[in-house]
Amino acid sequence: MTISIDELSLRERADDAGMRQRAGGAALAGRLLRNPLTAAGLAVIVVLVACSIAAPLLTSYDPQVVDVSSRFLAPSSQHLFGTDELGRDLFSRILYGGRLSLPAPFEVVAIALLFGSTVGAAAGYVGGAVDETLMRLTDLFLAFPGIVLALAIAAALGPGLPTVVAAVAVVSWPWYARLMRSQVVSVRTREYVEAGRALGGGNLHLLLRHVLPNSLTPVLTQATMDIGYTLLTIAGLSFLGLGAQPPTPEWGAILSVGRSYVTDQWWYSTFPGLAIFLAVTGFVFLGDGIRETLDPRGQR
Amino acid sequence: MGGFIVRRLTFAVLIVLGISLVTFVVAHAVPADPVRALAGSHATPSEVAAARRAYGLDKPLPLQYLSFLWSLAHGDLGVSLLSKRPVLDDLTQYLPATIELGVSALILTIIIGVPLGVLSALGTGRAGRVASYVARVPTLLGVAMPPFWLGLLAQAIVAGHFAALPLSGRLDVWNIPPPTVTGLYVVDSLLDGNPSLALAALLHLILPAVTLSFGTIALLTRMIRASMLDVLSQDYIRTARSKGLRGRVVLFRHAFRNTLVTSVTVVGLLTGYLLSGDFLVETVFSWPGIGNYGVNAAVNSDFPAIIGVTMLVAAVYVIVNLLVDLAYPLLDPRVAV
Repeated sequence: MTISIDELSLRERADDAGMRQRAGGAALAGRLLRNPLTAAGLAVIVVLVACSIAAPLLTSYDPQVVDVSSRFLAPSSQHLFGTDELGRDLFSRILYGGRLSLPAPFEVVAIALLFGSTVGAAAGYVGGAVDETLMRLTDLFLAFPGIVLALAIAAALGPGLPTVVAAVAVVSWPWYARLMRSQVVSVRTREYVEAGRALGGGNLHLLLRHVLPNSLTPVLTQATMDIGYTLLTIAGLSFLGLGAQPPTPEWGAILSVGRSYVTDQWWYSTFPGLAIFLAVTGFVFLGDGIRETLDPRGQR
Repeated sequence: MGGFIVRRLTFAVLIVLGISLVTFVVAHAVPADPVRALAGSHATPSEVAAARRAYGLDKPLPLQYLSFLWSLAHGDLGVSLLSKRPVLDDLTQYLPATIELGVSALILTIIIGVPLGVLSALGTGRAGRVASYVARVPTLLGVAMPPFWLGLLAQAIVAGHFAALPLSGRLDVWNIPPPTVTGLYVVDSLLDGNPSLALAALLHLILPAVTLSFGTIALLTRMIRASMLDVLSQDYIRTARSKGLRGRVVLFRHAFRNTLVTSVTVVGLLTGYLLSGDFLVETVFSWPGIGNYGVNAAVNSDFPAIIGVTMLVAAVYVIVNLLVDLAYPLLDPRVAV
């Protein structure tokens, strides 16, 4: 009975995913959605994204148009979330704001994931002094509260949403480097990698074809949960005044203005925060569910 | 034991050095014109030139870093551009407020989080999967809750609508702070024999501390629950039960003690977080701590202050983590020193 290296590698992937069958996408999705929390989280995210995309269909108000005669109107059928200090409709500002607030964490995590994984994979695969140096570097970043460093970087680069994205990405990549490295280190000694090498496979081929695909699961799980926390961090930094600046309708920025009117115009502080909370909750539930399904042995 | 301590200390020092390097790079190399950043945005050309010389910014970067380290070793963190005072003085003034808030939140976190974590692990076995989900939801929500939103809601509802608690600050405007002994208003008021002032300070503490501890309670509960579940499934628990030991004895003598390592680690991490001045909560409640100071500095590009806050927070984290590491051998005799 012969078994190919690809088959061995595929089984490893299936093992990681906690299943003995082919790691089919549909089967995986089915298992994920059976968890009510995960399904709820996914539903919330889908609704929020759909609303942001469909913003022009859901509201007739322009989020930037000022109408001082309508300032500080409480929520009504005319203005679902009320109006702000310049008479702008808050509902439409939040809907359009989703177009800024929702993609931003994806950008951050994508950058951190790509850069961190590359560094981690290189460190784990090459080993030796390179590994040591890179790991000390990540230790440094990890020993430190991210938001402080992000704050300093954002201050240095000047306020704005791209700044915050960059700052949080810089602070987030070390975790992925660490994660990827430990995965690569454990996988590179497996039999199918040795067999591949014996068959004449070069390092790059081995890395791309066998080592990486089997190292991805925990990294992707982490990434999903991180989208939620990153959203929180970005909104927080915007709230502090370092991210998107008014009149940009980013959720954290809206909330920072609403803060001045917290006791009287309750809607101004409630709804943007609610949007942030729902989005983060959705991602956290989704990520938690993914972690439970794909990596039940893992702790984190 | 000695070798372990020495190694951890060396590591801690290296981390602080590393952070100083990163901070230095951020403050000096990243801004387009670091001189302008250090001199302030309203400086005239001659002031900028003078600042360039005074800060030694005409020297090569590595030399600048060395002189930065030299000043740091002498406790000279530079002068704040906003307050025009030495940054060290500013930090000394604002740190006690942060500590008071952090300690209060830490006490709340431990008092509520530990029992909650233990209890939620116990309920699972009997009631099945439903209970597991029910236990998970509040903790997930707690982790997802934006602290700045929670703070605003608390202000709007509790302080605004019900007017039950103060809106912000450490004391009311008409109160005079107690004479400084520890810097913690509640303690100092009591030491001064002024219980009504202590009460006022305590009332002001409630909302910020609860807001701050919301997320940390959720996190601690989750971690303890996971650790307890893990421990309870171990063989020695079954042995203890089959020996006929009462449930409570099994729980405390065997189960809980084995979760201590995880619990203490998490508490340590949270302590570092709580004591480093949560920017968001301090801002919402106008709490005059180093978090608030740091945010002001960041928004106004007050780089000496930013560097100061960053280094202070780094020091707090490193010290707390060091203490946690040193506690390991005491908690788990198997840990080789």
